[in-house]
Amino acid sequence: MNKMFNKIKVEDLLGRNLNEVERNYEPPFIFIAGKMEIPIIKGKISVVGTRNPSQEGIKIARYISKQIVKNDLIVVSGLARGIDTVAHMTAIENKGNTIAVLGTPLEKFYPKENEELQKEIMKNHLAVSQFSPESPVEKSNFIRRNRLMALISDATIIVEAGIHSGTISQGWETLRLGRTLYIWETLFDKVDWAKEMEKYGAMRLNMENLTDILEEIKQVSNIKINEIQILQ
Amino acid sequence: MIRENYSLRYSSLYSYTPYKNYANVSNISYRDELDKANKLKTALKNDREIPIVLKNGREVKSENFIQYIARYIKENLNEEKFAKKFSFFGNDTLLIPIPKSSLMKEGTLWVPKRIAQELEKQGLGRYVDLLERIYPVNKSSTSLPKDRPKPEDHYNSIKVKNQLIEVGENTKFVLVDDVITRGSTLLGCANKILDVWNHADIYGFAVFRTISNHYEFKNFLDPITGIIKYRPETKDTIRE
Repeated sequence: MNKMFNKIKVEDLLGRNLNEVERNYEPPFIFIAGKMEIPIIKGKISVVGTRNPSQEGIKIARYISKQIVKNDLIVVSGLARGIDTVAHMTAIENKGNTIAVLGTPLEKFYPKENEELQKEIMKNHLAVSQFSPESPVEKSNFIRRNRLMALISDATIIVEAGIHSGTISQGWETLRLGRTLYIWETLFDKVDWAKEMEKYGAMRLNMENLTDILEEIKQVSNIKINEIQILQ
Repeated sequence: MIRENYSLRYSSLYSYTPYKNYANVSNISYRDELDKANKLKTALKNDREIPIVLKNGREVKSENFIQYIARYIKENLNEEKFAKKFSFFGNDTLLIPIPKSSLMKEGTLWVPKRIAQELEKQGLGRYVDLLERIYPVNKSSTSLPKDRPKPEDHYNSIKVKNQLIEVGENTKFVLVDDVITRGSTLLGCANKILDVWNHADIYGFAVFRTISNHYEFKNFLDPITGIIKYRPETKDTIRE
C-alpha cells in the first residue's frame, strides 16, 4: 500500500473557511485517498450506528443510504462493523458516492474484515483520516474520528445504537456544531440518551419525514459560490 | 404572564419562503431569488462566509455573512428610509440574543449571539447575554401549526439570568434573532423582560422574516419594520 497520501486541511476538503465553533476541534491536517474531486461541494450525510445491528437496523440503514444516494447526496460513515459497513456498501451498490472517515491511519485496515471495502473506497470514493501514516492507534482516535465525521457532514443520522455506543459522541458533536442530528424514531423507546439529545435539538427521523428532509438538505447544503453572490 | 395589550415593534432585513412551500410549484419566474434566499438563510444558520461582489462589479471577496450583515446595517444607517426602520440601534442599545428552542451546551454555535456580537463590533449596541432557555420547546420551523409554541410557552421556558445590568432612562432592549416567523418567541421574551424592567423600551430584530406564501415574496433583500401583537382569543400572535 502506498503510504504517500495527500495531506490537506478540512477547509480544502469542504471548499470553504470554517467558523469559530468549527475551528475549535479542527485537526491540523487530514490525509485523503480516493478519486473524489476536492473540494466536495455536494451535500454529505453521516449514517452511523452500532457495530452489532439488528436485522431491522440493517434494513433501515440500507433504506436511508439508498435514499441519500437517490438524492445525489454523499453517504459518510466510519467504516466500522455493522451500520457503518451497511451504509458504505449500500452507497456503492447503488452507484452513489461514499466517504469513509477512519480512526486509523489510511494504510491500516480496521476492522480487518473491511480491508477490501476500504481499498475500494480508497480507489473509487474517498477515505479520510486525521492520523499520520504509521502513527499508533489509540482508543481516543475513534472519538476524534467521530468529531471529524460530524465536522465534514451537513447532518448526521443515528440509525441504531446501544446505551454506551461510540456514536453518542458524534451526536453531541453534531449538536455543538449547530448541524441537524436525526435519530431514528424507534431508538427513543430504547435508549435514554436519545431523549436527552432531543432536549438539545435532535430530531426524530422516520419513513414519513425522511424524503422531505433529504430533499431540503440537498437544496440548501450545496451552496455554490456563484449562485449566491450579493452586491456590496 | 403575557400582557394582553402589549405589542412589539420589530424590524428585519431579508425575507425568505421555506423551500417546502414552493418546491412543488411549477412556473415560478422568481425561483432563483427564492432559492438564493434559502441558501443565504443556510449560510446564516451555519455561520458561513458568502461571496460579496465588490463595487467595481468584477472582484469578489469572501466575508462572513453575519459580519457582512452588521456592516451593511451600519453603512446604510446614513440613508434616511433605512435608518427609520432600524432606529433602535445605537449607543444606548442592549443587544440581547434570543435563546434557541432547545437547550444548549456551552460552546454550541448560537447564531443570535453571533449576530449580537457582530452588531456590537459595528457600534450598534452592547451585547448582553440576558436570557436562557430552561426547558426546550418545539421548534417552530419543523412543527405543524397546531404544535408551534405560543408566546406563553416561550415566556414560561425562558428566564432572565442577569438582573444586574445597567439600565438607564434611554436604554433600548433589542431582542436579536436569526429568523422571525410569527413573532411568538420575541413576544414571550419581551414579556419576560417586562417582568423585571416594568417600563423597558423593547424592540425585535431578526435577519430574516419568513413569508409562508411564495406569492408574497418580492426580493430577498427586503428591509421592513412592523408590529407583533398578541391575540388573547387564540393565545398566539399576529405580525403586521
